[in-house]
Amino acid sequence: MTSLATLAPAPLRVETEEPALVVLLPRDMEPLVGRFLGRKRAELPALRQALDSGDYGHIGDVGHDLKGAGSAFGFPLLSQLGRKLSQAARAADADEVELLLERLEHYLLRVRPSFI
Amino acid sequence: MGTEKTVLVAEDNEDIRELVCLQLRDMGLRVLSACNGREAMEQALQARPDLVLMDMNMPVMTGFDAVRALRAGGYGAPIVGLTAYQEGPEGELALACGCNRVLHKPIRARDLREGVGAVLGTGKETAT
Repeated sequence: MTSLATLAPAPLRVETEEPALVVLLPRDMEPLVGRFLGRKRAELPALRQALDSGDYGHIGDVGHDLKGAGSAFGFPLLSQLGRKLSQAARAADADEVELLLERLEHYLLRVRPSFI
Repeated sequence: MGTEKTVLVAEDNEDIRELVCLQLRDMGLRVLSACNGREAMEQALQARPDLVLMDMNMPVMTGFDAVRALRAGGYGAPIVGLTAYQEGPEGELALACGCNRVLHKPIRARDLREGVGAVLGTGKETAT
């Protein structure tokens, strides 16, 4: 007979799906924004490779471009991340770049533009 | 008689170039584009647009050199410099090279409309 003491409850597994980050944008920007986000997402693997190989020049260039374009497209957080990424790359701060890449990946995978 | 004005957008960042061109077309302007300073200089001297929006940091030829070359080549219409640096000498240098004014990136649509409207609206701004 199995004692109650041995009947440990199954661990509770709660899987949460983080909500999308909705950004409201003017309707006429719809064709450009899709391409913009697609390009930024496509740059992520190369950024990871650049961090692994210590290519801070590439990371800095991407950060600089992101800083200039993010807010213009309606994504001010991307401009902030781009500025910080550019600074971290100039300082060759691998830990900071890693943290920022994680934040950038998180944002780009969850942001959902909504056109009005 | 058509009064549509022409703007040349010189910007190596594809994202920004696409966006600015769209915003200018929405303003009823005819738009040309270039992706480096040399291309910008050649197009501007050939097409003589009513305004040039010049990114100051571009490959092949910088915006600074392109602006100097345009002024030396007799291009007298307004040139608005685009710079990524809010602080520092880049803006001052752009004006010294021959830009009429400077816009800082990231460029908000409102700032673009106001900046372009200011230089095209009066038609009085010329090379200094």
